[in-house]
Amino acid sequence: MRNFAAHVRAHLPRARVPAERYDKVVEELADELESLYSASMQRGASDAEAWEVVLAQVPSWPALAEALIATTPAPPDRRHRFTRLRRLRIDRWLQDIKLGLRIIRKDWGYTTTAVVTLAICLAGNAAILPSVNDMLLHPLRVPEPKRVVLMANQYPLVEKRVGVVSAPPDYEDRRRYVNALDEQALYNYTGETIDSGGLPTRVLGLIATPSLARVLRVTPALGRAFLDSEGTPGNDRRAILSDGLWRELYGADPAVVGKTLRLTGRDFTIVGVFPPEFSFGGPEVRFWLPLALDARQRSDERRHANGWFSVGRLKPDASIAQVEEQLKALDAANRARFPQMAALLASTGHYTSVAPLGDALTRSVKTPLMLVWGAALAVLFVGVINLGHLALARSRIRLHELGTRLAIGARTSDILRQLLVEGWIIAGAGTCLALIASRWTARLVSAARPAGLPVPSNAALDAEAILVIVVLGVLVGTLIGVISALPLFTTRLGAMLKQETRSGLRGRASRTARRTLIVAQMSCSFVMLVGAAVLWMSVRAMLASDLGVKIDHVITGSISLPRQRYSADDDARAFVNRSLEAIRRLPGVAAAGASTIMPMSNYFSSGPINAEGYIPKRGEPPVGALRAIVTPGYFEAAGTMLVRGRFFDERDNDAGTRTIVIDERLARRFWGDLDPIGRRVYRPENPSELAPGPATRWLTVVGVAAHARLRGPEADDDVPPSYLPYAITAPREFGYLVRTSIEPAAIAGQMRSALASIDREIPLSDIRTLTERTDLAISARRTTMQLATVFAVVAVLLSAVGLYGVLTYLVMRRTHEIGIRLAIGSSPRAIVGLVLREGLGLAAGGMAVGAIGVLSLRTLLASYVNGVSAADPHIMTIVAIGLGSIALAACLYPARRAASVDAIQVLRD
Amino acid sequence: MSGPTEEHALKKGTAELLVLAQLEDAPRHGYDIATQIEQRSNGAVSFNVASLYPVLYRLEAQGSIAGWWVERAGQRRRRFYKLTPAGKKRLLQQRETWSAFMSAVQRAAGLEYA
Repeated sequence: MRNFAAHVRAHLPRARVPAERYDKVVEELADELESLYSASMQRGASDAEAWEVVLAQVPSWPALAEALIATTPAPPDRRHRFTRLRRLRIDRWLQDIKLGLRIIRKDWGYTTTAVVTLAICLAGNAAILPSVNDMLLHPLRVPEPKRVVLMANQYPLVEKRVGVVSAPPDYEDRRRYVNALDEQALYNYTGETIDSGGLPTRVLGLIATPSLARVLRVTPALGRAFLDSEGTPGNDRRAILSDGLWRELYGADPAVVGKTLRLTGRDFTIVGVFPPEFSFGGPEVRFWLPLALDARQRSDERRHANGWFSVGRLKPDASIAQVEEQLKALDAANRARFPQMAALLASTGHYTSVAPLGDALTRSVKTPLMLVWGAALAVLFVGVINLGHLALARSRIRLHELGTRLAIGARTSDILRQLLVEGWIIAGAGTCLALIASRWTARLVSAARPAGLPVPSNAALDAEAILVIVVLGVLVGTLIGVISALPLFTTRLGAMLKQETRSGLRGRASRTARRTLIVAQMSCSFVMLVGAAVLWMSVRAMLASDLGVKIDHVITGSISLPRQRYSADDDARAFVNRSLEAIRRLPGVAAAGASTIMPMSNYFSSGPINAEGYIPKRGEPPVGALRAIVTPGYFEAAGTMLVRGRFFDERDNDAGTRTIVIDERLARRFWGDLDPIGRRVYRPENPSELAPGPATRWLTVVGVAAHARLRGPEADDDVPPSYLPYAITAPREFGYLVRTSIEPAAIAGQMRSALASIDREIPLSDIRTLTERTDLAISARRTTMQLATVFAVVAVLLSAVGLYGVLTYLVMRRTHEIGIRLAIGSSPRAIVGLVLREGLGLAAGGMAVGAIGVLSLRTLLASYVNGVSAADPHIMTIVAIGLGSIALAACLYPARRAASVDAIQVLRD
Repeated sequence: MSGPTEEHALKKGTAELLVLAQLEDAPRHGYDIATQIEQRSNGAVSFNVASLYPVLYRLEAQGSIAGWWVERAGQRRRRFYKLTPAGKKRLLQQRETWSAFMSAVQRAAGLEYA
């Protein structure tokens, strides 16, 4: 009797098969062999012949053993399993990559188109990300920036803009009563003159209570921060330098601490240097000085004399809500303490606001940046749709190949993996290209320094931004892979193998998908174009608006008279008169004057103004006015028109002058249509002067000026200007305005010399023409518009390419139908019309959806544009016509191709 | 695109279909499966132990078939196999794949007229 189990055991190698399994396999194989042996014997074979049959069953026992091992679950051998698994996986991935590269190289046209499209879309995002990152996400680079808050006085019933400043008495109060804050500080900007290489230069710095360093948690890299004792009058001649200023003035001398810095004729001892990466208040801030408030500044008289930034850091367990509660209580307590102010404050709607300092810093740039980034993302969206179309089209071409592979046993997951790898390779190439391009564009952007749209000094991509771009690339690659693999799941294998080009149910779904995507692209492009057009019109409206100042042919410059050498007001007046005389003598000068408010700049001073006999209505807030102090000749230089009376002249050059010129809006507010000339007004300097009394310093109105938007076309225009003669207070900081008959920039040098001839140590700084200042004032908006336009144009081009591609594809799919139509008598022109109707129909559908989009975005845009409605029907119509023409152009070639279909050939196929 | 990998895949694909098909109407043991295949194909396709059992074990590891030992009085125990629900699905898929493939091959080889 044959022992089949022994036979199997003798031949089947044991290696790597677990003992328990081995025994069962032996048992089963032995059973099989025995059955075969028995069957052979029953058919009449001899023992030897039957045994031959048994032996023939397994030509190679080692091979059988290998096959069995392959189906044996791997033993839990931790040491080897991971490497084996990993080796398997990596082998497969490597194979996919090799295959993918081969296929991509074969299909050069598709690859190039896809890579370039993706690169363009990602590069746009890469260009804007540094600004978004720096300005929106990390506006305040200090430890725990969200816990640093800004407190400010708000007067919502009087002013539209959000206030950011407070008065010194507020700081004192808050330090005492707002104990949810750990540390608090008060600071402001200050300009000083330094001697830079022999040339007096204006530099910007911060003057701050010594506690500011503690609020911001910054430690100087060299030396130390200010001591609290240095924040008292008499001990405050100390300075901390920025890293940049230290390198510029002292050549990075490590022994700079203790040296003297001369600022505007005063000596300061350097106590520290900030680290190079520290920046607060803007890149132009180059030094800090300690703020020593004197008794007058801290007195109740200076309440609501806002001009300082009041900040604080939350205690570890405190919240902004708690600060808000405490500020509310403080406001209520102050209203009780100063009942004479209570009614006035109530009429202004006064309250104290608190918000993270970072938010306040980004408020002005948030909207434009978000708009531009939104546009960049929209371009990416449009581009990705094109990539989707391309992938879909290509997957149809590869239908046969995929089908064959499936038919001969390849797994769906293997094919999917391979298509994903292809998608990632393409996306990877596009991402790399975009990153390389972004370095180049970043360099361009830094060089151009588009003023207004904040560009961080290091506009290159940092690790975070690169990660975002890479993630976007991976997502797009995954999408391409998934779309390429769609036929695997949506098409029957039979159809795949027959390379079915007739429509099936699935075909219709895919065509609908394509049409929907085109409509989405077109609507996106429409919205972007309308947005760009609206921004453009807004900028135009701004520039065309009557500013009340004639900005052409005017050159300006700022000046600051040091108080030590111009301590007497008479000295200042004398300087101003002499300097203006000197300037007026220059050739080409038509008029010259000086003012404390430089038109089109953001610096301004304002306060309440009241007219004699004017009874405010109950609850009416006090009338506010910009406070400009001007010399004779200012209005002529600025080009502001005279409405009534006269402008300032030599009669107003006396210290005892009590005249004023007011804006026409103020005149109308106080006196309606009555003649204001000769009437009297007063400007309360502090709350106790709000009601007129025997001590009121009256001013007589001698002239009414046409309305002037001194703060520039972008700023709110709710506070009209009032003008006081220079002679009254003789301010030391002011700016010159010089109207010329020649090119204004030509006399800049001569102006400087004229001033230097009077006092060599006083620099004329910030020399610009008024046109340049106006451009600067609207530069944020203009840059936003330019960027939005660029993105919109790219989106439109991509959409046009997409439309062209989809129509070409649809024509190809309907070739059979078109052939039949031509055969039964349709004219080529009718075919063209058919295709054009399809294409233009899609475009029109997109524009309709886009119009809805514009209407819903109207409110978002409205806050940012003025002078034009965000949903202006004229603009939408023009954009629709433009986009329609481009769509028409994109449709023409496919339409002509359709018309030139060979009907006979088609019918034969 | 054909090479050793594809041919192997081809054979692999055929074997699985054949084995699964035999288990469609009733559970069987290994010897029975091989016999059925040979009979139904009129001897054209036959499996020896070395080609059948790796397929059986692979299908079992995949979960397409389930095996269990059956002990009958007076007989040595035998291992039977039956189709699992997953196996039924796989059988359906394999059938579809192969019929489509066959018609494609026929067309490509010019065996079909338009």
